[in-house]
Amino acid sequence: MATNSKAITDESVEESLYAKREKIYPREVHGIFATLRWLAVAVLLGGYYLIAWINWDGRQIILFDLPERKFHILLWTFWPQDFFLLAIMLIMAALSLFFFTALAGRLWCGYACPQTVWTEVFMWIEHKIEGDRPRQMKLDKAAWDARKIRIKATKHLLWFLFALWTGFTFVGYFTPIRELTHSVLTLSTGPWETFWIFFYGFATWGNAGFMREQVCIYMCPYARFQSAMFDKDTMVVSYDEARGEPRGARKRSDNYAEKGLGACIDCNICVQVCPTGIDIRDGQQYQCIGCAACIDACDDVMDKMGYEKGLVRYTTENILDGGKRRVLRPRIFVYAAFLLVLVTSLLIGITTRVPLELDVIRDRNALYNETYDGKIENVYTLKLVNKDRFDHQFIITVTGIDNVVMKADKEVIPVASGEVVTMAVKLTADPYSLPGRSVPIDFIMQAVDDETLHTIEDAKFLGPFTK
Amino acid sequence: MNDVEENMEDEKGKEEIPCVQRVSAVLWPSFIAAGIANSLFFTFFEPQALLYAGGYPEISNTGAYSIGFFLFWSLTILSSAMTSYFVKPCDEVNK
Repeated sequence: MATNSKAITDESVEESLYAKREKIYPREVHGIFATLRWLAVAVLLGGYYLIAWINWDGRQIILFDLPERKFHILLWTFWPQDFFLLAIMLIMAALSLFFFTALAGRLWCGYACPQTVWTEVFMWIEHKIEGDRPRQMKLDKAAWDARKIRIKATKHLLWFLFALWTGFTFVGYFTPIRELTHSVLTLSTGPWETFWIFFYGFATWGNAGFMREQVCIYMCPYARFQSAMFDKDTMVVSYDEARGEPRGARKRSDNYAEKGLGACIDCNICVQVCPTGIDIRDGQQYQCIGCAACIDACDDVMDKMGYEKGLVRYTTENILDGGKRRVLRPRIFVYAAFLLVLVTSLLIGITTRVPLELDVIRDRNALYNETYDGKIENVYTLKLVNKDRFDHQFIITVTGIDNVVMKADKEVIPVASGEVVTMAVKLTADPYSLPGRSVPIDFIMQAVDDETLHTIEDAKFLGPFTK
Repeated sequence: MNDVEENMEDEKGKEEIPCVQRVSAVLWPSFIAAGIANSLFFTFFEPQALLYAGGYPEISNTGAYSIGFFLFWSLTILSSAMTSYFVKPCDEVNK
């Protein structure tokens, strides 16, 4: 039996080295983890396709409005200046990934990664149209006749429509989806929208329909370094070698222990269900995305044989070696602590964010002007940005020079929510009150209706050398 | 047996990197890098201002982002492709 397993590994080594990629036909699997994955698919894809349609206060709740350079997420609006918040969010996402990997292995890959989720749907369509694994293999081997063409064409048509809908939804997060629907229905979609719908649709079709496990193996950076987050207490999908070996075929009625066999009946179903085409019995491999399809499949077989379940199961290296389960360990605390710090700083960042911005641009034509009565005059262009959800009125004041006089078209400047108002202001000062050629000054933008709503922007007032 | 096998694996591994891996190793990292470059670039520069200054006021913002992305992507593809070309072992160049 040992020679048999050797032959299998040699063959798979040769396959991966010499042959071009063998198409993998994962066998359909049912069980607790398959159900969990379908639940994840339903929640995630359901969310993806539905959230784009949810409006709040007359606005899509998630809209990355690129043309207007504003990101609307729930009730918040993020501007390019809030880029650091986005950066914090991305670091948070990465750290959560580390945290959950340390805790329970590649949960992300098995249940939540878009690649897994969309592949699951594409494979489901494939199963519905082409039949189960043996039928698919037979169909692919068969000559091209009318039946094969019909089946393949149906599958690709369904894939294509699903991919196109995916691309459409994707663009719907950047262009308001209702307007987009209208323009699609009237065939008046802009060239770039059309392009991106097809681009994203094509990527979905290619990745979920054809690339599949190769994306995980060759393209995913996380797959390459996830093992760095693993330790001996990480929950991973493992084959209980001590219990399973030596593997071998037997009758259900046999007492396998007497025949010198382990619990593994070597039915190879765990290999057939594997979406990345590996044999979990060869130990942990980086191709394993932790989808637990082999657990479901093996449990099923164990049930039929009347053996105890869990020959392949979620467990830790320590437990397999006869140790205990340790959930709380330094690694978990360190990741959790970092995560907590980031979440806190993000919340502080969002809540203390002043939704105002003031840009001060000096007049480029003249450094300064002298007025007829000997005063010094500087001209600035101010850009008042109201990033708040409400309209406000603002007043502008200047500090830094004694008795400086500010002239503008308006005393009180109304700026609607999300708007930018540009205005010119003229500052006049007595040359004798200027301490130097270049005097730092501050413009203060203050909301009339809300004392706490203000922002300060520094600038320079230039004048002649006076002392 | 094991040692021989490992040696074989090493040698073969060098020669036989699957085509998909080669192609994705060029296209995919450059795609990510271009995405990052594009978002950083347009965070700091407003596309309308650039387009106006460049004499293309008729291009929309979405168009500017898309064109920017593909410009960045072609550059990063170039860089990735050159990396992939230069990592070839010297022995193979001598052949």
